[in-house]
Amino acid sequence: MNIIDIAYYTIKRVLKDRKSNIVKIFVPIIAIIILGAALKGSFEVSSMDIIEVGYLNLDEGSTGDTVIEMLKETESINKLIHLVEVSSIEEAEEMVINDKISSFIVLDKYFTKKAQSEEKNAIKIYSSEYSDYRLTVVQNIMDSYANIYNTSVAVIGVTKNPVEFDTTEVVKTNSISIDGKKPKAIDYYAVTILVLTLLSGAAYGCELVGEDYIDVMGKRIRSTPVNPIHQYAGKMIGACLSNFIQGLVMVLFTNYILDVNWGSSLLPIIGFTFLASMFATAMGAMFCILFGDINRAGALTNLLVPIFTFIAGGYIKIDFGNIKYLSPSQWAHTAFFNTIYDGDKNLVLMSVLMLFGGTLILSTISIIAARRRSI
Amino acid sequence: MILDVKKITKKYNKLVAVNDISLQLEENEILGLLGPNGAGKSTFINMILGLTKVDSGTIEIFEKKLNRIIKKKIGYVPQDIAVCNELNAYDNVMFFGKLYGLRGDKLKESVKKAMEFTGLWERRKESPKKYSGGMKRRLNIACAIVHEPQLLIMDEPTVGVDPQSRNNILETIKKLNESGTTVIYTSHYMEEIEEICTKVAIIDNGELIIEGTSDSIKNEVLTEKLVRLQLEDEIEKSIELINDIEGVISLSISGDTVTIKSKKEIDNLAIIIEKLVKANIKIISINIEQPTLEAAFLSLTGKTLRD
Repeated sequence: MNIIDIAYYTIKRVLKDRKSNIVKIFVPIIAIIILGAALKGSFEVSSMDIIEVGYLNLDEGSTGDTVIEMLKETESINKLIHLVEVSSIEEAEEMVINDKISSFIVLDKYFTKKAQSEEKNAIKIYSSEYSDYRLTVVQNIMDSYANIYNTSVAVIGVTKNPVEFDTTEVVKTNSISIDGKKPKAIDYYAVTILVLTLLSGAAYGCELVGEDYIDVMGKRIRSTPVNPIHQYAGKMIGACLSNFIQGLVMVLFTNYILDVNWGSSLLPIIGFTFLASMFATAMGAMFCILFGDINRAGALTNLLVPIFTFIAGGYIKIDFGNIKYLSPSQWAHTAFFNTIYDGDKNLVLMSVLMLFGGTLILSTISIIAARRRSI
Repeated sequence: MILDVKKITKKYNKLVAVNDISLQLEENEILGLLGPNGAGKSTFINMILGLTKVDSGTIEIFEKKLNRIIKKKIGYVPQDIAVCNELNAYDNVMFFGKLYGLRGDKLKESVKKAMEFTGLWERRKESPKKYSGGMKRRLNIACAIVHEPQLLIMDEPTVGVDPQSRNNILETIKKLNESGTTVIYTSHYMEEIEEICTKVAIIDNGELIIEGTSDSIKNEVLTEKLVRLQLEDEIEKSIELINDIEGVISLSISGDTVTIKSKKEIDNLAIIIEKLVKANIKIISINIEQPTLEAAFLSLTGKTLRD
């Protein structure tokens, strides 16, 4: 029961500070509006250059030639890729290294035989280790083509009649947003600034939990019959919910007033907001308990959160490679963006697990450290 | 017995904060803990409250070792004001009432009683930020007595308050004691200790130097008494007359006043006056200095409380 009491009065204390709350909620919203407007141009979709793709047809039969011919003649594919014949894999690799082609496809010498025997057949795609979106385009085209090809082979197998298919529909352009909205700068910055605000909420964990373990108030509370674990849990819940409420107001305001795209449902967004709040609060609390000093812990939090945000591309989209995965901001960004734009569900799950697991680890360290400090 | 402390010691590396202190406190007593800064008073209180680990020795409160049930019977008023400025006074007292396990109507009644007791009920809706120093101190006390503790531990509760608020706080403590609360009270102010405490313990350098009632300590420690005589004239002559009287230890002159230090057990004031009257030396005033705890403290430790 004391956990609820401590959490309730913690939230009440935070929410009573109206001036501070207004600043904490509306400054990020203003930042979203400013960045969304100022960097609008950077997020406008420009047309893509035609992608150069090498091909090596080693097929001893005729199906390989047919496939290449069809690829070359399909108008919708030609708008995206240009096929260049190569004489060997070595030559193709050299061309990829020199960026003359983005990738290359290979039809092996048994391609026709495999097609006739209905064996599993595939057009192999090779690319550089550091390939970009162009590989994805080529892969998608080849997958689409392979699906149609396999379908026609299956139909021929059953009907023994040749089948025609409409090559004009091989490539169809769809928006990457599941509800049909194209991503705007404000949509991007709504996510990154929200994550920045939530992680900055580590200050709540630092101040509110810290005062219980360091300040005279904490000494006083420890003289009461309250279980120290309940005391910690109550403060953590209160600080986390205070942070969450501010994040929630930001989400609702940007959704209903600024028309920011948060995807088809707000529920997962609210869930991630809560998760990020939990992580941030646990992080702030841990620093405070380990340092035994609210100011030093606060200074470290203020230093780390912008660094996390920066390497996760929260201010300007820069790719720091694998380093970015060390940033909790990146975990949160991944969860938000992949949900909003219907991306990889596994990545969402992984990010959620990272945030949740991180919270558990940080809280465990805090509790152990707090127990060692007290009697 | 409310408190039974046996041979407790606390060391911080080489510093011995509390050294082998034993102390007993009976029900309904007010124990005054006296000592200069760094004497070990706060460490002693923290050990009683379970906030500081005891290196050796034992502490029993209500004849048991400290546990959560015992903690419900204890109230603690820290030296620094420990209230939430973001909450109003009522919510502050309410919060502590809940921490001590009070609920429902009992909680509301107790909060009202504590706030009325400390004279804050009329201004309960205000933030402590708007309170004067004295009112904040009273709120600090209200938070500690909301659960009607049997033992109240107060660490310098009158620091930095005006005389009116101090009197108010002292009256509150007396009333609490009359209603059955046992009190441990630390202070720098001897007059407060003398006014309210039924028992005094003097701590210095982590050691308990003496304990007893205020009078017993003064009687035990002070072996001298002081008389100040203000004379109209013939100061030098009076010195010659008084110097030989039995029991007189020393004499000093300051303007028209002669200060006579005598042995406590020898009653020589009548003889002194008689000799001066016979020599036609006119006495303007006689001031017999009462023995004080301050003097006893000085005599015991060689320093004043504010050293």
